Amino acid sequence: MTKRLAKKVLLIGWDAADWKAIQPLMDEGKMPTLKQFVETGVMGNLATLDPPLSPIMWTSIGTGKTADKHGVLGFTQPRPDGKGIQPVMSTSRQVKAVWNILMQNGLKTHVVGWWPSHPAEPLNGVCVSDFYHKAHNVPLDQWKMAPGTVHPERLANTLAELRVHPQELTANHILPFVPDAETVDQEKDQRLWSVAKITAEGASIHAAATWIMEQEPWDFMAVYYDSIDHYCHGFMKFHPPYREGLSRDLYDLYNGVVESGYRFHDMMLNRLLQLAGEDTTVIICSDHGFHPDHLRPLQLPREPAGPAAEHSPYGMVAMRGPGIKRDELIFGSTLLDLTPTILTLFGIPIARDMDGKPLLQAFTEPVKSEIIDSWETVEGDCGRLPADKIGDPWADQEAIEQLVALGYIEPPGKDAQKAVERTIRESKFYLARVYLHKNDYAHALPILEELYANYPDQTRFGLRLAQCYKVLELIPEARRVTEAVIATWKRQRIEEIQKKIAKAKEAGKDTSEMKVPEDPRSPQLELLQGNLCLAEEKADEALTYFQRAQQATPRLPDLHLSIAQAYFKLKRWQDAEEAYFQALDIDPDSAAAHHGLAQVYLQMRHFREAAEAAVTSVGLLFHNPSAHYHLGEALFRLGRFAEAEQSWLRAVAQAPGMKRAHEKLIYLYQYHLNDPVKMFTHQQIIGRIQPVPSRRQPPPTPPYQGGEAPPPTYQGGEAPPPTPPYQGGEVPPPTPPYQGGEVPPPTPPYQGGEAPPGGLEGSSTPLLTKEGLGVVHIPAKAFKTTDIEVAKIITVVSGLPRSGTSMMMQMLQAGGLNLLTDEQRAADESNPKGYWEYAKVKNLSQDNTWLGEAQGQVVKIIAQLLPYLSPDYHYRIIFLQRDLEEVLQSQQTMLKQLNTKKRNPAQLRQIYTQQLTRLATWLAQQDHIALLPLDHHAVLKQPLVIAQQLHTFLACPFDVSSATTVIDQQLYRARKLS
Amino acid sequence: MTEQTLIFHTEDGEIFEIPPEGMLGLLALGAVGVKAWRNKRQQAGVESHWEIKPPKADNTNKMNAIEDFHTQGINND
Repeated sequence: MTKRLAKKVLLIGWDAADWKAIQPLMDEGKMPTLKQFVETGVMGNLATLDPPLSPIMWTSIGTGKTADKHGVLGFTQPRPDGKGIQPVMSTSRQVKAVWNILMQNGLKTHVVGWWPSHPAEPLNGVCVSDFYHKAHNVPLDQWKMAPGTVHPERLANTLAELRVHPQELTANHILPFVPDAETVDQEKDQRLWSVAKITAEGASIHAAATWIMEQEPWDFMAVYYDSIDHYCHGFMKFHPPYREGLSRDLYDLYNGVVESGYRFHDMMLNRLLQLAGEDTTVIICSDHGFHPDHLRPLQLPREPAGPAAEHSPYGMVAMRGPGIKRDELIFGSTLLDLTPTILTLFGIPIARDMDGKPLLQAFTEPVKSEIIDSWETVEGDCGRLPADKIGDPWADQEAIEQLVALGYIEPPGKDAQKAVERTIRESKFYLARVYLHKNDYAHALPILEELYANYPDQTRFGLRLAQCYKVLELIPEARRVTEAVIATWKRQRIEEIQKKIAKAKEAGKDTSEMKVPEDPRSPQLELLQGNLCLAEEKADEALTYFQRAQQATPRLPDLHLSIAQAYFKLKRWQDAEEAYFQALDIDPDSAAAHHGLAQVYLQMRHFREAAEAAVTSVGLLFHNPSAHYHLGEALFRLGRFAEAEQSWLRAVAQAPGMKRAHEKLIYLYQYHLNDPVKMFTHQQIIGRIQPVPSRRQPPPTPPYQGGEAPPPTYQGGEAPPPTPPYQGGEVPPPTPPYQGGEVPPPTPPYQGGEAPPGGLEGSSTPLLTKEGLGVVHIPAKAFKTTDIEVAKIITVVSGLPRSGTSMMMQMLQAGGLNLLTDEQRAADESNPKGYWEYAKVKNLSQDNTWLGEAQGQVVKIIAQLLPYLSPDYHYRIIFLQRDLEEVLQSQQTMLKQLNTKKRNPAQLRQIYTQQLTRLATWLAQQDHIALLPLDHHAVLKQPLVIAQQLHTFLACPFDVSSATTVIDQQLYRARKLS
Repeated sequence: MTEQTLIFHTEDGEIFEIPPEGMLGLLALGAVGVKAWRNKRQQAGVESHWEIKPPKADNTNKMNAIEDFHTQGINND
């Protein structure tokens, strides 16, 4: 077992905290607590991931995994009923967080405010969700706390009272941020409310965290503050120095908000450290930085999550306490490393399916982490929400769309539909970016192609697609898409200007000076076209474009990187060096520029400088296999063979298909390190590396099906930034065929024969128990009480659409029961004897007020809508189950008849299985529901037995023999082949 | 020490008189600071507050665009 270095660990999240903003404040003595903290601990940059969106990032921090694995893909998700969107929830997280693993290892854990964490998880300590502190714009006297915000429930009232509402704050709280606040006309300028709201929300989280630390024992505590990020998004534009174009008055009013926000956090940190005590190892981190300087964008992109353009690629990390070195810098950290670091501090094994690494360089003593394959398969109570609560909103949405297409669910309203569509679109885009960041182009490509085909006006989709094509050396495709993007961009600019002119004319303004350009241009366009020429090996032509861009905007970010690459291709080393210097003048922390310089110096045979530049680059951005390769090259040339070996090993760890690094290692082992065994190993690896795909190779599975993604070749850390383009040929080998356990194995053919009929309470016979069949066991159950008036019971026929529910309705009618139907849906080829539906059912998720009229009658409700039944009534549910292959086959046939888009049956099979599993758990917990599961096949095969069972279950007059007469074997059409 | 008798001292050892209007330093103390301030506020009979006005409904979207980017994932398109 690994030695435990830490007794207790406190993890503090400061969203968007950035050393570039903090350093000057520490130097001026304005953040004394943090200054003292880093002087007695370690500090460094924490490289972020792409896309740098906080729910995704904080889930990666909390799990050590990238978003394709953890499943949190943005700010919002479709609502379970598909009729709108909701904030991203803890139930979207598909994997264990570090607090789950720690709890599983017997440690007492508390989590406060983590994003996303609602509903609160049932940890062995206290969990306060991210809904806790949000005041929105609700007045103080109407501010309620959402159910599920606090676990355990017994603490809900205590913690609710500790929340601070913005309206409670006074001048004493606001003046430190805005000294001239009393001059603000709040009718016109509501920024004071913003300051109050952000401050109150931070104070609420802090009050909850400190109360827990005072009152409850703990081993691990995680607390997340979003306030720095919010101060920055609202007020960083006013942060000194003043920039042209900004209102001077507003600048004078608000230029101290960001600084005061940081100082407030320093004060709160002081209290946390007091409560944590000297025996606690404390980690402070942020998910990304926030440009405080000249790199602040002047305009935000007009796209969802556009404000993320203000984020910088480096967050911050600082650690102090037992097990941690004192007053040292650490390099090459990523936010994926924090979970492995915390586990290692506690002496708990890390897992191979995590993408990060422990930050061993921060530890006082060498530690060798124990490694297991995965914590996901380790059984035991870990404080996660029950399985029926955890869902995959993206997959559920697929199923909902199928049900809408089949006519079983009311489509959402127009606005809701648009919101859902946009949420899905963005989540797909974010997933593609996650894959791009991991160099997993095979998975990114089909998503981007689909997005760009569906939304050709979204140039950002086209730009990423072109980038993907370039890396895969599909240059003609890259040119085609780039040209289409440029044409779209020009058309959109022209339309914008035309609209402006029309608006000005409407307002009676003089428009004689306003002209519509025939061929709009921009420096970014020149850069784009130049980069395409570079990919086509036309460096001279590229330079022409770049120079035009430089004339228009001399300090355009990334421009000088591209210029340097053009010079590099032309072997003009000194010009390339100069261009990289210019890039560093704009952004001294540009890992790409330092890496570029290393390559230039290698060509110039300045090996010491090359090594220094490469070290700086990987220190800033650790996951860059190409930079590690060049560092190895420089070290080798300096005769530092052991260090060169380590660099090349890191390169192949990050990019296993990097052939040239394996070749260097072979040479090194053969001629310098005299290690034939290792040499042989790398020779074998080279033999297995497939050539760089020059044609598109779609992945073996659909892009995202919820749950685990295929095992990546990526070994953790950061991928190279989009620029410079990937350095030639080292695309990782295609992802191996899907190995993950989420998609059920192919369903074996149905074996025919007698499926055992469903029994009543006490029967342990499942309807279908064949291994791997993908049929979920839904057990029979009776009401908890017996004194229920039969006339008030609602009888429900349910199941997946196309599982025999219409047939069952006919049986019940023939048996003498009253059906609640309106015959709005006419019989058709799919259901020649009618649907037996009631139209209001389709909108049950929005309106269940009609259920009263269903008392004493039978109504058909599909399985997915059962959770919307009001608990005010008692229900007898006859639940039809049919082999999923047959259900899907029948649904596909019906969709074909409806001339509607079909969906991937394998994907739907998986989604239906997950939904039924959750439903089974839910049904088992409902005391007001009695349940009779019936097998579709058994109904057809043994109608008499089934009718007798119905009679027993319904406990009311029922004509068994008439009920059997309606069964028509001819309608059993979608049969699975034996 | 219970929250009712909580007394704060300055660095010089002087008893710190909690202002009924509160202060950032009390919020930074967390739960004990918030409780102490509210107690003082109640004793002083001060309801709150220096008027900070929540946004009007018609300005809500515009205002939220500033700081609710992260809570609501604002859309710019």
